Amino acid sequence: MNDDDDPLIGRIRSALDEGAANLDGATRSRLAQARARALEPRHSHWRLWLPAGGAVFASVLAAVLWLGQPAPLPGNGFNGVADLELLTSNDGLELYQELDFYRWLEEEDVHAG
Amino acid sequence: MNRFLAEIEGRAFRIAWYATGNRDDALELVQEAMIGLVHRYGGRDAGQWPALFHTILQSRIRDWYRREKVRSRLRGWFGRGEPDDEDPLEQVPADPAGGPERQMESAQTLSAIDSAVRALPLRQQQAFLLRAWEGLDTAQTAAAMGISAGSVKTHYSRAVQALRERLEEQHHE
Repeated sequence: MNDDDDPLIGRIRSALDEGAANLDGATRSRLAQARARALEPRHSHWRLWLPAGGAVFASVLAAVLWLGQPAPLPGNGFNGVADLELLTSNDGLELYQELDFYRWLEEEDVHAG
Repeated sequence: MNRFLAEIEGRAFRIAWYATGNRDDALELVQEAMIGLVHRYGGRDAGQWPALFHTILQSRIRDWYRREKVRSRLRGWFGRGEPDDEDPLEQVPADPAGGPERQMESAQTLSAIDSAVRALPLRQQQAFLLRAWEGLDTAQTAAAMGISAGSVKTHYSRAVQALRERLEEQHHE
């Protein structure tokens, strides 16, 4: 006998349908919540990490640029405080251009004295 | 998808509840199956959804039984009952203790059928529910339950036989 023709199977099926149709309100509500949760669009995890990842990338980039700068060659280029003092001094540039001469003169005076 | 889930959720809950005997666990299993279907197979043809949904649900039910087996062993080790060495999927009588859910059934016939289905061993019960209630064919049922088609036929046939005997007994009482 085919299952569909078996009165026992038909009776059981009807009873099962009735049981599923008459679930209590609390269970129905929980099922509706479960369904809503399942249908929520799932946010990709990488989007959640995007701001933090951006900050880390920026920090690493800054560190690489800072540490990767070529060291200034000695006597070649801007020498911080000393050069700044020279540029802002009221003394004429001639004084600094003749600085070696004045140093020699001073040493001569010391030896002579 | 929403309509499909709304249409199947009541029956899915009953199937999970028959298997676990616990309302909260059954709801959790159904929710996991819904999430699995939506996110993994939402793009598939809607005609495939019932079989896919039940495959996920059956997988979650098997996982639930494995966890229960571990809990049962732990209870055994701590002196609260003997550890169960038998395969729970094969032998466990899927007959949950009566609880608040028991009050859902009012009609005598419904109650009798409900008890008879719950008294079936798990695999007979699930094979019967998927074949006779959900309308899956033998191959789909086998895929959902992770067993062979031959086993499905055996479990289903035994389930029908057991239900017939039990309901006839109750009818004569």
